[in-house]
Amino acid sequence: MELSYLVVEGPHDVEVAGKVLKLHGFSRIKQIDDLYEYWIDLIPKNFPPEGDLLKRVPVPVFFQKEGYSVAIHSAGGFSKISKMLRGTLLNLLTKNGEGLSSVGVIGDADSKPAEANFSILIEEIGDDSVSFSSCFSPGTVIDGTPRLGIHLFPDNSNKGTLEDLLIESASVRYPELFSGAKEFVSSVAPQHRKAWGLTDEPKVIVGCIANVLKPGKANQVSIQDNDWVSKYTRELPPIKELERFLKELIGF
Amino acid sequence: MEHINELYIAGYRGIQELKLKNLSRINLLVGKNNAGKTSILEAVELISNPGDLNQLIQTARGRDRATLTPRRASLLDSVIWTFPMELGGLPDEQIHTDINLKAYLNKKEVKYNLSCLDTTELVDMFKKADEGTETINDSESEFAVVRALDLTFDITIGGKVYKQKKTFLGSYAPFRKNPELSLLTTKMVTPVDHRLVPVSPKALTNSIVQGNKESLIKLLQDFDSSIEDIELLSPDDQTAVPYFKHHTKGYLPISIYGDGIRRVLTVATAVLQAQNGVLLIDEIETAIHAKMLKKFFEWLVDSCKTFNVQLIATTHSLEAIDGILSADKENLSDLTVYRLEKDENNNSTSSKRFIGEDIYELRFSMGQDVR
Repeated sequence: MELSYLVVEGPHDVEVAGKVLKLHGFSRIKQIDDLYEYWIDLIPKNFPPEGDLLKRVPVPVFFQKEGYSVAIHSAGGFSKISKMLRGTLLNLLTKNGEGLSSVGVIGDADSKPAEANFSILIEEIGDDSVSFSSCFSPGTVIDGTPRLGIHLFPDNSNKGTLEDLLIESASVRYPELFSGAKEFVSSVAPQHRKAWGLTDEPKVIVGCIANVLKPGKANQVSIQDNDWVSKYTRELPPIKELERFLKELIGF
Repeated sequence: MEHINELYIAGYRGIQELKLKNLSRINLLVGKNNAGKTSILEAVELISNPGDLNQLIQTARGRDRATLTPRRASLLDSVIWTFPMELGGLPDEQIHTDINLKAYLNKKEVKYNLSCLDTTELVDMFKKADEGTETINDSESEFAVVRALDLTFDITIGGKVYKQKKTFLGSYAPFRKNPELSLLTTKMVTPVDHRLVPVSPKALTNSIVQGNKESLIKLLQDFDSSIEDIELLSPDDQTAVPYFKHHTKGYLPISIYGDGIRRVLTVATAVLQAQNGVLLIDEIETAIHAKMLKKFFEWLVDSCKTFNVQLIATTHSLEAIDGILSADKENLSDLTVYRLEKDENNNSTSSKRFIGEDIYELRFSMGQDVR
């Protein structure tokens, strides 16, 4: 069994990666009895995390198909990726007599070209459990046991975020919703923009479209259920790049 | 200061080539059944009291404590099975190889090698009868050939070598340690001691004399609020027996109380008996309700600090791990967890070391199972 562990920045990243896997025949695991046993210790046994009743339980999302089992763990922010990765690898590696086939990280490049956040991750993750320092650029997959790689949205090269990928996707799949949302967002008055960060406008546009598609639901529900990542959009360069990365990393 | 800093087991019972490095003040051993957790506690006992035959017997017998006498293995068999076993060249041939241990005790390197030969010895049966050890058969001969173990102790302490040969005939002997051979005080608490071993009056007296009584009563009151005090009484004018003073019912012997309270008392007196040494507790969570574990561990960790005791304990319980983590959050660096993993293919045992901060993160932030 090929076992892959990915730590991603947030829940939207989980759903986008999950949709790519679904395009390749993976199914989301809903029942613990269907989960490959190797992952059982990652299922949290206690609540609340850190004693905080408002925190989400950090359980990974699992996707499986014949011969492959993938755990995608949302870190809850770029700065928490290395901590989650190092902790889980410390716990998992050499346990149960079985090892991981691949370990990956997915995050955003943010306001600088991908290389900048890539370097930060390499330094923060370190080489305690696996040698992430052997990765020489975002998007490349290093062969070995386990295979290693870091993917940074939108396309492992330019600055930006996952939302830039979703915007491009919406412009193709939901063009009228996209142009309407874009027009609306651009008309938002300055006093409502004060709290927005540098990369937040695409997030607002995505949120508007997602709410039309899935009224009242969180964005990740729309990403999971709608066609942001689908046969209609898979040829777009950022999605194609993600697909290439996941195929090489996971080995399907 | 950690009394024992590093332990290397080259061979003991089913463990081969296992190293535990950088032990801290509080140490937890986790792992599946039969991974070797109890064996590690026993190895610490042996190397802390090298060359002490009575310690070897006591350690060998520890697991059989609860077994009824007629069904127990003989003392000889108990001792010989502490030695690692491998198969010989002949069918069903079992060969017991050396016990080989190494440790750093109070910064001194200690090496312990013990070999044994399963042999026979010609013994004066009348002399043996006087020692009350064997049943005398009706033979007219005064001498008989009995099974014996020839034991060779090869010990190095700080570079100085000690060699001793002893013949063990399987005789019962009072289990008292030879203080001259005790490099480090150890006290073992097994999962059944609170039922089988009376609370030591001496240890309880020491607890009272050294001012630990108040905190002990306070802890016991968390288990049973009707306990006001603990006293040693002598109803028969011969033996000192611990009694609790009940809020309304007067003095009650502790033997009538439940396992939880008796377990607390057993551990409490064990801490005193392990003062300036190492306390070894097997299945630390035994008999303690999950909701009481945190309070119990807060008291235990504090007592270990007070009496300069290094704790090495085994557990199967996530609640016990969480309880110890919560007991002293400000000093997570004082805690180390070792997870033992047995490779069934080659029978080797390895350990994974987790520092307190990492275990805290894995348990409380990520909720992962670390056992």
